[in-house]
Amino acid sequence: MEKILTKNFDKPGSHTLKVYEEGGGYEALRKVLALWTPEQVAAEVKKSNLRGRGGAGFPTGLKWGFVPKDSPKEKYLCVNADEGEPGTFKDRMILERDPHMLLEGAILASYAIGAGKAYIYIRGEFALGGERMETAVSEAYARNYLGPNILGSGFCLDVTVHYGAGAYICGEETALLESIEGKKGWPRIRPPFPAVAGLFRRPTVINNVETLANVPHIINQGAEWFASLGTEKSGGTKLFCISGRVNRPGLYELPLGTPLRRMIEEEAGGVIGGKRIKGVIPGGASCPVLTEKEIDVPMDFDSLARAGSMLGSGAVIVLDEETSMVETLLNLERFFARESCGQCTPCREGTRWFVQVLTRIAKGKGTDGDPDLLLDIADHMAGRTVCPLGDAAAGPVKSFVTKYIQEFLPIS
Amino acid sequence: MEYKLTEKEIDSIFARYPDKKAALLPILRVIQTKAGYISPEAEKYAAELIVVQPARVHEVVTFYSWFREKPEGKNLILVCESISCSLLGSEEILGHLKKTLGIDVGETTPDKLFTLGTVECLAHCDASPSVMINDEILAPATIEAIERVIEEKRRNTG
Ligand SMILES: Cc1cc2nc3c(=O)[nH]c(=O)nc-3n(C[C@H](O)[C@H](O)[C@H](O)COP(=O)(O)O)c2cc1C
Ligand code: SF4
Ligand code: FES
Repeated sequence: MEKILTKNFDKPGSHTLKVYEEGGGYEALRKVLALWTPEQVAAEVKKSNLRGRGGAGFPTGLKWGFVPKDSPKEKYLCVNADEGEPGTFKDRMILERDPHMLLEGAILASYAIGAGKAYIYIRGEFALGGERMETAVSEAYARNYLGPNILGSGFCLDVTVHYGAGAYICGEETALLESIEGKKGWPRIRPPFPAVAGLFRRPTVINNVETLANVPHIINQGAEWFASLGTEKSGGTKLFCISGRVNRPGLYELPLGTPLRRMIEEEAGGVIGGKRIKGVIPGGASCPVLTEKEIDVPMDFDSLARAGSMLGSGAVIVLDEETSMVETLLNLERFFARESCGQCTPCREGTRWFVQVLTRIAKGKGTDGDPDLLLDIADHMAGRTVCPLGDAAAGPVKSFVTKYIQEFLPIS
Repeated sequence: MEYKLTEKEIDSIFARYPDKKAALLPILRVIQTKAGYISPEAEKYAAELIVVQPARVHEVVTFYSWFREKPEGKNLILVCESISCSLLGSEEILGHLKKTLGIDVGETTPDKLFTLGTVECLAHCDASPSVMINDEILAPATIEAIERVIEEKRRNTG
């Protein structure tokens, strides 16, 4: 299959402006600024069926359309590069290997929504990715791809790189806005939605790194081409991060809809030591686990939803026959308990309870009632919190407990 | 240790935001990079720069795990404990570090050379298990590779 997002990744100096331009970089921007209106850019992205790659899969063109056209207020684009979901590393790789592709996408998105200022929110721990992104921004200013009157078009855009400081919750879009405003990352109650009152209470679009990296390709090769690469409702390729007990963990760019089993066996080289697969988390820490029998599912948003799980951020985590499902769930819930911002009682308390109960089970001190207790806690969390982290923490519990119930019961 | 920003640093940070208050995270980042941690005096200083109550700054410093309120060892070693690394032996790596350095998680060696900690997914699970040493990532972090880095740090920062 043709590589799109990763096609430059292995070129020497792929992060430099020179190499990016040699490969046709910034041609989409030149074309758009010379010939297209912002509405045309938004319409093309809408037609491409690009859906957000940050986890929720929301149609990107539709999201851009929510920004009020007639508002006199300044508008903002925020690039979400706070990647921190266990098992995910695709956005970091884009920052390190092809920052200009992301930047060109961000400039095109800003033009489409009428933003004059964009913030790139980079995870504080990304030293190399941050450095490369900052260099890319300076290079782009020097070439007038950024700044005033870009390439003589009258369009102006300033870009600032803003670093996080070690809080997973700041990847949640409204916590991210709070964090840029200089506050602790407490998600906001919606409405109002960011498109209307976002950063500094002005209209704001927040997009994931991978989402925006697709935009130059859509402009260059057309919405029909992009749409034809994916499934009926979702265009393009997808970056899958395969990790866990496989022979070749890594980043794989594949068509949406590639069967999960094939991904693990053919791309990631199968399980270490030829062991059997016990289960697979198909889309990151918050997704219900699939058993070995369920992994013929095509990896796209809709097929996974039908299989009772989610595509999430595209993090495939493979568990083999020797993996303890109790320890695995405990590890996931410890993550959520540490990263809960503490604002809502069900999330703050529920994640702690999960850890307590699972620790007890892991130590062989669980009771007959513990599996039900876990399900009960999960029931009381889902849908009752300010942000989706509460749902995310409850997300995997039912699947682990019901599909692998033997491991969660006391040995009698 | 000196933690104050230069005029130039302050101006360039303020220029990037429409509201002074938004400069807080970048200001704290510079302070910590200069001094290694953020002292109560530094919090007060940051509060004066952006014209807010010191309590607001303190709230931010305690919320974000990257900000430190105490000085630490010259080298900060953080072992990723999240799921993909855990599946590939991060516990063994952490155990080895505890033994070699003779300290527990959250502690600093008596010679102040190393502080040991844990961290959640560092987005390097393509090469788990991963460890962060100061700004650098070691992935995959084998016991031999860790030994080498510790030796090197002992030689260079001793
Ligand atoms: C707890 C939590 C953490 C999140 N972390 C990230 C993240 O690191 N990166 C990201 O792009 N989206 C993250 N999201 C999703 C964002 O809220 C948002 O949906 C996304 O950035 C929108 O971009 P997209 O439409 O391009 O996908 C997170 C959501 C939640 C609830
Ligand atoms: S659900 Fe959890 S993380 Fe989200 S706002 Fe509530 S307490 Fe914070
Ligand atoms: S789980 Fe350790 S780097 Fe991702």
